[in-house]
Amino acid sequence: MYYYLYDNFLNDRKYEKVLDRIKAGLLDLDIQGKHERLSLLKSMDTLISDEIKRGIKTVIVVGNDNTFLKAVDAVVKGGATLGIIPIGEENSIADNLGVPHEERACEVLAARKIVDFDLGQVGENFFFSTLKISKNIDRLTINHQGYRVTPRGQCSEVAVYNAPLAEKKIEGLLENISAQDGKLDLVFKSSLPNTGWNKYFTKEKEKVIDSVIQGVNFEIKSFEYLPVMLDDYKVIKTPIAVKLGNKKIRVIVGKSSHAHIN
Amino acid sequence: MFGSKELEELNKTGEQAQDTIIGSTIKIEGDLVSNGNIVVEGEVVGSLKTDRGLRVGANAKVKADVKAAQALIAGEVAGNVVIDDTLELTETARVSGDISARVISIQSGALFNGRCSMNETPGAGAKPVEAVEESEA
Repeated sequence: MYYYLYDNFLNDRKYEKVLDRIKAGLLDLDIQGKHERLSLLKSMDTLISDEIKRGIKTVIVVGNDNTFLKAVDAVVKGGATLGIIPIGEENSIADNLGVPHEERACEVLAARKIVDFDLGQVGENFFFSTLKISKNIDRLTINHQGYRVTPRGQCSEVAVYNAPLAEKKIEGLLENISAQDGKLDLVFKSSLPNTGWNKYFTKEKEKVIDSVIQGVNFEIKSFEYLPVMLDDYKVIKTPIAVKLGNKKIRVIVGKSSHAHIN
Repeated sequence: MFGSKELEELNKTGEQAQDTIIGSTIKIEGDLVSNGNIVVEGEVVGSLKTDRGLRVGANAKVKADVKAAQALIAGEVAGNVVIDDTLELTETARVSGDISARVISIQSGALFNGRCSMNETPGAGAKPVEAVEESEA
């Protein structure tokens, strides 16, 4: 039994036609199930965990990267399988998983090629993609296996990567990061200075990876509480202990998934 | 951006994920042990140990005892360096401490202060063949 959860941005009338096509596609492939829309009054975690308790084994989110990442925690805690029907912009995860957009995703769901992915864990929270800290980094210290790492002034972001699949481009050192190697990657980034017209019109600087340390346990401490962004939607505060999650998530992927997924 | 062309080459060749890359934006204090290659472009204080290769970049500062299978040093190292196979000091290297390896290569311009010992086979105990003190290649 499938449970289809639609993100609330899909309430816009411009998505009506595509949603109809998706429902028709699901009907054709005989993978129907319960359909529900998110709203401001409904928590995704509660909806998913309630449905899993009622016997749902597969949760399909309809939306974008953000929808997928928000669903991970509840799905893994319930031991279900997660899939995505990508609609709209910001769908790097679906692209990297080899899931085509809109109604074409139905065939991938019907084929049900399932891959297990590692997860990161902070306390009771699981995360699929990254954990990021980008403010007051010079006040951080990170302990890992008998040594201490201190970021310097040039460092503009500290991140713990589980999977780089939410990145638009997976190139350079990101290519070496895998969500199936049983390890997390502590990554330090520095900012490149803006050049040309960007110097005048762009405030945001391009960030490049400067350092990478692999491990399964990282303790991140600071002199004061610093905000930590979990999977780009949840904010927690330091100090935190990040570890490789004790559970894996089962995800439906397409045939043309990213080369590092097997 | 990486401090050296060597690091960029490392990126392109897509070496294994277990490589530890210590860039110029971080400082490490303590005992770093790795199963993969270690690339140092920043600062390390303590000890460095790996079963594979070590590369110390031209701008790196390492105040640590070092043990690796092979090493290329282009930066500053203060501590004893024990290498199973090949140790290469480039022209920008500044090493203060004893070095031990099966094969040692010191380029012209490198600064080395310490004792040097070489062992004939990998894994065999270090056999002093030459003692060099306060020498500049």
